[in-house]
Amino acid sequence: MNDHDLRQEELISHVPALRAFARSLANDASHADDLVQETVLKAWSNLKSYTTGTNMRAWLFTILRNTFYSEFRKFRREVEDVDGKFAAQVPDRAAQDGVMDMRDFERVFAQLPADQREALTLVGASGLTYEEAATICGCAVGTVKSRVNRARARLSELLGTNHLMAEGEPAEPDI
Amino acid sequence: MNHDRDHKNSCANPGNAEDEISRSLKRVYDEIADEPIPDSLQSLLDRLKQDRPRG
Repeated sequence: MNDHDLRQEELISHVPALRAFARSLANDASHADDLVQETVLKAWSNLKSYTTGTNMRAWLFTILRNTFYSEFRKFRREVEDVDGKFAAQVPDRAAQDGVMDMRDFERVFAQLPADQREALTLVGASGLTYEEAATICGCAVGTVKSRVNRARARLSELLGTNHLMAEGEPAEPDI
Repeated sequence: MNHDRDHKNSCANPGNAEDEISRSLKRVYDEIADEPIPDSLQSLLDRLKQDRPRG
């Protein structure tokens, strides 16, 4: 097996992680898998540009992220959403419609802004460093830290609020 | 379900909330990563591997 074959095998081994990262961005399983397919195709045909010895997962995440945001920008232009109100709702729409069978955490996680979901997933679940996450997101390390902190604070707030609501719900009256 | 138990424990003790977030996040991420690859994606991977030039 030559070096190129090894790269291809490594690329395939990252597909599960790509699916998990895509889900954090797209909030919809079907759209997430479409993103992964597109990412695999792009990466496969550009494997020569990948530098052996660097972080392939970070490279793949960058391709997937760029694909997602480029689609998102295209979509926003197409619907002429001048003030961005509609676009801001898109990432949460599936959860609000109850299309996905999400558990508590997933439902609450989906309420975070896309940039916070992305930062938290990259650092908190994918095991990437803040520096790697910043490179993928094309922003400063401090920005990633700030997004992660805001995401954690918001999740704590939402999980706590949801729990209190569940505890405080009045019982059905006996009739 | 452990997830529910962890959630309730952290809410009872807000100091554990961050740990619970990390655990839940990792659990959701791992569950998605452990899911079987959908047929359409698997077909694509198989096709790419088959088309790989030999030699």
